[in-house]
Formats: sequence, structure tokens, C-alpha cells
Amino acid sequence: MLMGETILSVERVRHVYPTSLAALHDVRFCVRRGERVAVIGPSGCGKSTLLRIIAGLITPTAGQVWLEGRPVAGPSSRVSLMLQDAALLPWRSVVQNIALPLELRAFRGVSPLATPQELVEWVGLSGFERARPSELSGGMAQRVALARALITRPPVLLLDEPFGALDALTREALTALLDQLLGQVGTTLIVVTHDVNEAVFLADRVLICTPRPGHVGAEVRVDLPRPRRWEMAREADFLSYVTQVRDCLSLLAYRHPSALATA
Amino acid sequence: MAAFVLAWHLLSLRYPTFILPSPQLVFERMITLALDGTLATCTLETLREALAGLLLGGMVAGIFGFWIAHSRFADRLLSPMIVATQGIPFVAIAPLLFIWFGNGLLPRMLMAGLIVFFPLAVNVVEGFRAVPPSLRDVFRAMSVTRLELLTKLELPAALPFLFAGLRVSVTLSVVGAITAEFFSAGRGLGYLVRLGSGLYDTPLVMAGVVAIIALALGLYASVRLVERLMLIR
Ligand SMILES: Nc1ncnc2c1ncn2[C@@H]1O[C@H](COP(=O)(O)OP(=O)(O)OP(=O)(O)O)[C@@H](O)[C@H]1O
Ligand SMILES: [Mg+2]
Repeated sequence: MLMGETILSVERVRHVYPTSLAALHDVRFCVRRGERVAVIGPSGCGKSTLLRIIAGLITPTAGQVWLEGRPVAGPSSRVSLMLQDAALLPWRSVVQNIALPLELRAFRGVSPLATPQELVEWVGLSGFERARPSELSGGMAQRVALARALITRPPVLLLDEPFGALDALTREALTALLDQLLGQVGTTLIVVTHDVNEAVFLADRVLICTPRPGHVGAEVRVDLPRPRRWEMAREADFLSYVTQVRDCLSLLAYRHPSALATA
Repeated sequence: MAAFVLAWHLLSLRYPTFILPSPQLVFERMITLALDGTLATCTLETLREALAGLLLGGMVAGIFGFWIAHSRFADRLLSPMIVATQGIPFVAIAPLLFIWFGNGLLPRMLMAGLIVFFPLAVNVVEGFRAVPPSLRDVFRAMSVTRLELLTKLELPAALPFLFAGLRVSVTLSVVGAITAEFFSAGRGLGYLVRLGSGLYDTPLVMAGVVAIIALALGLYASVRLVERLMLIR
């Protein structure tokens, strides 16, 4: 898809937790409308912190995030967030969970991407409309969470290791589903992951972070055709991107003294 | 139940009536009390006091519990005080309540309210704290208003805890009302029992006790019923 103007820019973001733990150091990057960016880095390097800052859930110690030309000062209805935990309401059925954002004041007047029923079909859960979250497997719950995140037609979708808790096969199925849905909707994606294959599969651009305090130390552009299929993962192009990302990761890890502790 | 009544009957044969009246005698006394309207009047009065106390204690517990669950400062400040209310010997302060507030509904509902406050407050705090952080994040990221957060996430999530607290406190509220009635003339099942004990009218005492138990059980069952209707998950 054709990529437009800058939709999101992260400018010199630094974050120090009250425990005086430095989580992020001078993070800067831009994302263009419709672009898909994966953020990868060692555990504890501040990826979740970065995503929470972009989502407006925490204010960075220094620096600024710009969304559609305006500084981010808090949560925005233009951004959807999805976490490793599906975070569904256990007392609501699948359709009711998907419809939740439409009941909120922030989304009044927003024309939904589709009806909750249609979204149930899109994410492959036909027949489970009335099921409660407790009756769903982990993968099914994430499908519901994805539908809920997309129903408001968000210009930006933030995912924090969305499929991290799932088995390999389910993860492949869901990343493929995500790729296909994003193709239809044209949402800008920022996905945090610790899976190199997943990052290459989903992204136009993979940002690689240093160990904590996190800093975007390298970037790999992924120039593969869409829609992507997991069969591509066996082809030379894909593998060379995977190798590049891995090399960057280990390079950045060795450059930083704290790598000795985590390795 | 039947075995219990039978054992009671057999046991009562060995003792004089003023020590252990037979179940039949107690039952007859209850019928008499029911027919002349005393039973209904007393039960309704106790019920009124218990429910008023539950409402009062529930509102205060709701406000404090919500505040404690959402603010570290309130937790530090209020939690020790709430625990301290558990140290109050409620029986000992009942006379005080009557001295301060006269002989109306107020001291009686205060007594019931004091007793239910602790279990309700604890469950309100636990309930609000039981909201998973990931759900809170996802809700906040959807730019919910404070009210939406409360009605769509916090209250429904806390509901099982609120009902657990209510189950405990609904019977405790009866205990509170009865305790208060023991210390003042005139009204309620507690007064009936005290009257009976003053007259060595053991069948009356036991009839009163049976009515109290029935009232407590009835309230408990009502809470369970509402709970079951509301928490179909
Ligand atoms: N609320 C908090 N208060 C204090 N420190 C925190 C808090 N949240 C995270 N941290 C610390 O900040 C650092 C970065 O955390 P973050 O969760 O952003 O890492 P991450 O890259 O997402 O890790 P992972 O890959 O394991 O999810 C960690 O060392 C963590 O201990
Ligand atoms: Mg994380």
C-alpha cells in the first residue's frame, strides 16, 4: 500500500521510573500513515514502556510523542491498544466484548469498521457469538481482542506482544490474520514482539532496541510483497531479513555492558 | 432438620419446660404470637432496623472502600482505623448509642451499621483491587470517562466480592439490630426474647430465637437469589 505523511513521531523520549530506573533513553523514530513497524529488543529494555507512552497511558520523563500533528497528552480515541493478555470482560459474550468501544463516549459518532457480528466472522469465530471468554482458548480470546481493537477503525494500532502467550501454530495463524485485516483497514501498526520471524513477517520496518535503557539502535527495512504468507518464511529473502535483525540484536547486545547480566 | 427436632423433642422430655420446652410447645407459642400480630410486628421492626443499618453501613463502606482501593494515601490513613473498628466491643457501646441518640430507629440502625461496616468495607476494597491491571490499561487506552470506568469495569468486576460481603453482613445486620434491642424497651424480636427471659417464659424466648434465625436465613437466601440472578457468567 502507498504510504502517506508522518502519522506518528517519537521525539527524544526518555523515561525514568519513580524507582529511578531508567527504562528508555533518547528514543526517536517516525511512522508514516499505513506503515507497519515492529519493535524488537531484549526483555526488559522498555518496549512496553514505549508503547504505553505512545498510547498516552504514561507521560515520558522527557521528550514528546506527536500523533497526527498533535502532542500526545493522554489516551486518544485514534489509537487502539492490544496486549498479551486479551483483557476481555468475563461477564460479556464475544459480541458484547467486541461492541464495547462503541458504547463509550469517546467513540460516539465514529462509524464502526463493521458490525460486531461481521467482525466475529472476519476473525474466524462464527458460532461463538454468544460464548463467554471463559469458554475460549487463548488464541480465540486474542481474536476477540483484535476485533475489539479494530471495530473503531483506529488510525493507529498498538500491539504489545499480542501473540506472545500462544503456541507457534496459533501464532502463525493470528499473524497471518492480522496481516490480512490490516491490508483491508489500512491501519498503521506498531507491534512489539520478541519473535524475529514475527517481526519480519508483519513489518515494513523493524526497529531494534538496545538493552535497558532502551534506545532504537538499528533499523531493518523489510521489502517483501503483501499479503504475506508463512510459506515465505522459508525463502531466501525472508531468511536474509531474519538474519539481519538477529545480527543487529546481537551487535546491540554486545555493545552494551548490561548484556552480560541478561545473556 | 427432622432429626434435630426429634432429638430436641426427646431431650425436652427429661427437663422442665422453663429449661427446655418441647418443640411442640414452642411451635404453639409461635402460632399464638403470629395470630395476635406480635410476631409480624416484631419481625418487621427488626427487619427495618437491620436493613436500615445495612444501607447505612453499606454506603459508608462503599465510599471508604472505593477511596482506599484507589488511593495509597487513603489506604495508609483509613485502613488502620477500619481494622480498629473491629476492636470495638459492640455490646459495650450499645447503651452509649441509646444515651446519645434516644430510643428511636437511629441507635438501632447505627448498631447494625457498625457491625456490617467492616466485612463490607473489606470486600469493597478487595473487589475494586481485583480488577486486572491489563483490563484497566485497555479501558484507559479507550479514553473512558471516570463514570464509564466505574459502571462498565469496576462495579461489574467487584460484584462477586460485593455479594460475598453482603452475604456475611446481611445476617450480621440482624445480630446488630437484636443486640441493640436487648438494651432498650419496646420493639423488635430482640426485645421479645429479653422479655421472655425476664419472665422465665422459655417458650417465648425460644419462639423469638426461632424467628430471629428464620429472619436471618430468609435475608441470606434473598441475597443468594439476587446474586444468582445477577451473576450469570
Ligand atoms: N511501573 C513500573 N515501575 C518501575 N519500574 C518499571 C515499571 N514498569 C516497568 N518497569 C521497569 O522498566 C524496565 C522496562 O520495562 P518494560 O516492561 O517496558 O520492558 P519490556 O521491554 O516490555 O520487557 P519484556 O520484553 O519482558 O516485556 C524493566 O526493567 C522494568 O523492571
Ligand atoms: Mg513488555
